[in-house]
Amino acid sequence: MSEHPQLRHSETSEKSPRTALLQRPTRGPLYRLLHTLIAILREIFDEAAYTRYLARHHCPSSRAAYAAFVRESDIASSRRPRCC
Amino acid sequence: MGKLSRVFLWTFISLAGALALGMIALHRGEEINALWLVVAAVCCYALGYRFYSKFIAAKVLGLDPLRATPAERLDNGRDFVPSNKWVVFGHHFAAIAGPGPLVGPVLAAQFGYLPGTLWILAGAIFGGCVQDFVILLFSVRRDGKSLTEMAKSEIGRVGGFVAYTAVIAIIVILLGVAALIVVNALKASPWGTFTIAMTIPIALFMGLYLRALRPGKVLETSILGFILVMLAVVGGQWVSVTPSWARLFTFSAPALAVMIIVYGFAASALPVWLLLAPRDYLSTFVKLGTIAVLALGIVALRPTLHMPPLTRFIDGTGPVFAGSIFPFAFITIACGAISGFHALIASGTTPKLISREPEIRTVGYGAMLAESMVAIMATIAACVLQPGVYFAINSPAGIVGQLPAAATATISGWGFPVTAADMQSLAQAVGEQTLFNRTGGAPAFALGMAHIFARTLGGQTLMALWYHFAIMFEALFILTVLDAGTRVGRFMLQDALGHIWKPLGRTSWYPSILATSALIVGAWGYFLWQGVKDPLGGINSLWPLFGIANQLLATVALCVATTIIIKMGRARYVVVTLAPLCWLVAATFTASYQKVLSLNPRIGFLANARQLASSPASSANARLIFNDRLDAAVTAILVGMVALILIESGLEWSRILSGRKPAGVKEAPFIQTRLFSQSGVSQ
Repeated sequence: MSEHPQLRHSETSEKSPRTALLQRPTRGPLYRLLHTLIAILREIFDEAAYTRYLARHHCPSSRAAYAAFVRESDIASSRRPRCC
Repeated sequence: MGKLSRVFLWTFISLAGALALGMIALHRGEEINALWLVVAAVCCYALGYRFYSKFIAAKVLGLDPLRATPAERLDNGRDFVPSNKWVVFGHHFAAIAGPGPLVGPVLAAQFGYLPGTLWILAGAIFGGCVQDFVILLFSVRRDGKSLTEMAKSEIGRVGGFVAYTAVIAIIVILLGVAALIVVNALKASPWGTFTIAMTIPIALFMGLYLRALRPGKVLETSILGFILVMLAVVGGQWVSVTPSWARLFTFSAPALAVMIIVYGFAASALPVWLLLAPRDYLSTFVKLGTIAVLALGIVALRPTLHMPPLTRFIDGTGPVFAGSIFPFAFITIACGAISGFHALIASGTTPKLISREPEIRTVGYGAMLAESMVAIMATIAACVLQPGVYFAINSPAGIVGQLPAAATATISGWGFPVTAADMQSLAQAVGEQTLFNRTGGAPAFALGMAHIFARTLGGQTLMALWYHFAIMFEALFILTVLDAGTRVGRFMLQDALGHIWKPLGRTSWYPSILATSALIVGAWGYFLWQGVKDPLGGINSLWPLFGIANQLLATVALCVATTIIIKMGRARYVVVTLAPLCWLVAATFTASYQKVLSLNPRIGFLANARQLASSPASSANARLIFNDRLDAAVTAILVGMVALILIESGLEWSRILSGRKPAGVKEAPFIQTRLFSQSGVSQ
């Protein structure tokens, strides 16, 4: 999940690698809109969750990593209700 | 923007909204443009968000920008992740947008466009958005607790039990009705059936592509899947005009029902990630894209509404479903106005993603406004059809007659002229054998959508493609809800049965998986079968049952919310949740009373059973009588349980307000946030 572009941890020395990775330089409004739209789609389609998984386990993307991610997220997503 | 400019802006929005509402409410005798509905909706939503939600945030809930949310405190990069508010908004909207806001307004259009539109606007602004907003905040302040957990801890054990049972009931009834909508859309439709059948190999291909070729590239894979599905929609036309292939994909309603039941069981009991997850991604991709394109289409093309503002069926004699505006319009349209199911989402994944409390207003209130806009678009799609065509599609054969001539004569006799030749040419234009008796709302929505888009790309020549694209979109969407819902229901049942016998609660123990899957699928499968065999089309009895269950769940959510507001010491503002609660109690209890005890056999389950009992005995009759009694019993049990939670809540409110019980809230302790905006903590 990408962080809010305007959010910063108050103690900058404790920034996690994930936080640092996901911070973006400030650009124009169109860029920010596009960036936010892509971030929304990446979250909805679990790409952001996979990125977090890779960061958490300090491993590069691979078939094995993705299979492990799917196994981990399968139970949680199966319990998630879908609306009518 | 200066203060004066803001005053001018909001005065202009108020006047524009009042003008648009006046146009749609008072205009009689002439057709109006759909844009009036859009303007009325956008202005009302803007006013509701700017003023009402801000009032609730500041005065009732006291959103605290200094308070750390569970996403920050419990951040684990997996379930709890502080996120950009627009990302959470998109995620929450994708989760709450189901088939309900598309189907309910289409069915309620039998009253005309006015009742549904007014209810969608008022229901969302004063009811649905408020419910989603407050439940989301209360869940955030309780570390992401679910609605059932909050009902148990804030109201009592009865509250928790009722919420849990209502959730299971609503899932079962929802899945039965959703499957029936798919069956009615695909029966005798080789084109539609072929397209949906093709989504299975496409999803498997996507699954393999994701796993083996491009791990984790879901968006790229979904785009690829979407292109393949579009090819399948085009290919379906060839299938439908090639007799040998058309025969292979032409099924009766009972045959389709059996297939869907088998599919539901397989999806729940077998490890079919390779099929389900990619289909879920594909469905979401198509859903979001179609909603965006439909919104653009309505604004760009400004179609004319042919349906009158009010029809003669406001008296309760409607062919789509029986019952008068009050209470039936208010339970038919749930998801676009207020839906109890949303409380499950607002107390599920979303509270674990919120970075700061003030963002809850945008996510909770704002996403429901977007959902409500989808319902307005569905109303427009249904009302751009000629009323005669709308009623020919949505009326069951048991009401208008089996033969085209009889059906068109009946519908024309109601004052909505339509001929059998019109319907035949329309069916040919969209590549179907017939459009008569296609109850359930999906085909009417698809035709309305095709009607709007046929005015742009390709004109009438592409009408069939647009229609089948819309059918594919709805069926794919509903089947995803079906397989996901079955799995959720199975897990809930396993959790409950685990309290009786531990092995049954083990989600990896295969006998338990098979038994609970069979129970859940058997339950919704029974409702589906009942609908398929119902001479009145099934929707007449099942959609109100679903609406009642969904609104009763909203009643439970609003009871929880009201209880917490009183415990927070904000009793003077309790009307914010108490008013929609009272309205829902009035609507759902009246609807339940009428569905069980009305003497009109088209409305009352028991009256229909009595009428069937007085006709010559047959096995089919006996089954219909049993079904009516079962539906009556289910309705009565649901209402009885919610009456219990109302009594328990009322007693709790009385104890707190009279000072017999201290007004303590069970929130997670306050911890100051470490997330600041660059200019400090701000709204």
